[in-house]
Amino acid sequence: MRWPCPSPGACRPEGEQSLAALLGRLPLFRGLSAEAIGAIAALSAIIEVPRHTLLFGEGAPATALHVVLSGQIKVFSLTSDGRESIVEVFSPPSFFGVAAVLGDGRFPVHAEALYDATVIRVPREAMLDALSSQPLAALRTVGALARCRIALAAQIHQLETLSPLQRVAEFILALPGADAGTVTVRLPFNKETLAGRLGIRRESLSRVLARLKPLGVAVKGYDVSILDVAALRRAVRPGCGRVCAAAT
Amino acid sequence: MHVDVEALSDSAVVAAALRQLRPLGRARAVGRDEVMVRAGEPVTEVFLVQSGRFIGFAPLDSGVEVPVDEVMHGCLLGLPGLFTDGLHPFTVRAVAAGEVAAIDGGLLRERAEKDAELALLLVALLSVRLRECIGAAGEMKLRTVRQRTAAYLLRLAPRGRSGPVEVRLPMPKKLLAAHLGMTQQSFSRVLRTLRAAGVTVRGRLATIADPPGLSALATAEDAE
Repeated sequence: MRWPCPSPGACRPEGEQSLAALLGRLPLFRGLSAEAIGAIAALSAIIEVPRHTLLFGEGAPATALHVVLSGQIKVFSLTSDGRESIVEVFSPPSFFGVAAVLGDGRFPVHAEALYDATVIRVPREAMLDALSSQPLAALRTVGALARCRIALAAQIHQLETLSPLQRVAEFILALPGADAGTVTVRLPFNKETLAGRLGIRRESLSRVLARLKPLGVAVKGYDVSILDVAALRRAVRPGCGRVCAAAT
Repeated sequence: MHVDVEALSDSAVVAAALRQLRPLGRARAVGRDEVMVRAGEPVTEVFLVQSGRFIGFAPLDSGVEVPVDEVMHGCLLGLPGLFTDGLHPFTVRAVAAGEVAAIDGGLLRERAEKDAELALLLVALLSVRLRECIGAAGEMKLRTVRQRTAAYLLRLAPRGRSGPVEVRLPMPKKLLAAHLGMTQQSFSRVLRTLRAAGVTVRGRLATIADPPGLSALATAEDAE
């Protein structure tokens, strides 16, 4: 879905009506009354965020929740020497920023478009109004935050227990299509982002990918060929239980 | 009582949660090493932590448990499972005796479905925990084991102290090592290297001679 907006400016390409319809279809707001959705839409806006554009920086006032309509947004922190730790990469129809909106009012991380993206910006006041008057919206948000929380704990678990090779292999094995036999799956983002997401330096990722070759894994651009999914799983999986699935 | 979540700091969110949620449960004492919930089991009760210290473990298929989370005052054990697939994602065990309020999971859900203010409080409570998790995951990715250990010791100490301070390790060293993502042997080596930074550990007691100096080490880039 593309919107003809000046970027990275905000606009309402088809009026509040269409924004309300879009919001109403999102899992977070599904089931809310038309009046409640309309109130959120009246204060919200669609923003085009070109690739590599910073949506917000760490420490900036958390004035809005963001819902991804198209493209990908990476949420990350940086050390002062520029090293990047990617917390998560958000794709449609996920949303991010609730924890900051309801926190100390500042974003704890940076957010940048990994590829050209379209997001709905739901201002803090609109979000708080919806949450404090619509228990359904609040409970959906609780569910979404709970899933994020479990996924982050699973990431920590992987960082504690898995080697970089195992983390990369686990990530590949969790990609859509990596079910059985000989398959080719596609990385959802570039290798630099993958390294940041898995807590590995970019140069280490190249070494890890080279070490995966004897295990039947070949990576060309975004395409990953796996000779035998079951064999790879046996070779790298230490038996990490149900929580591992939540990390990827 | 109206709770203005928008105006609340993290500590005030926790205080509000304690105030609002405690009356919904029954108080019960928890002994050290008591298992509160087990991964994979249905969420029937959630536990509001009033005191004590708890560790969330992710169980491996081999039966080994890996600590992934530290849970303290004001947290609601079982909340993530209650509002996702209804199963506990982690096993949670007490590493220090304490007290919790046990709240029926169905009752909490039912109340939150009707009471927007309570639901909003749960959002705020989870937001606090989520931000802590984001920080912990970032630490694991960007900091060395030495920096992580220094940062953990500093979190145990009262804030803003410039002089020597003594802290008690809240869990056995083996468990703490796993919590910080290293083996017990590596943890011992790290503690030895931290002696030069003024950290001495005897049993469960750690002394930090120079908290600001240790803080500088914990946040320094590529210290190793």
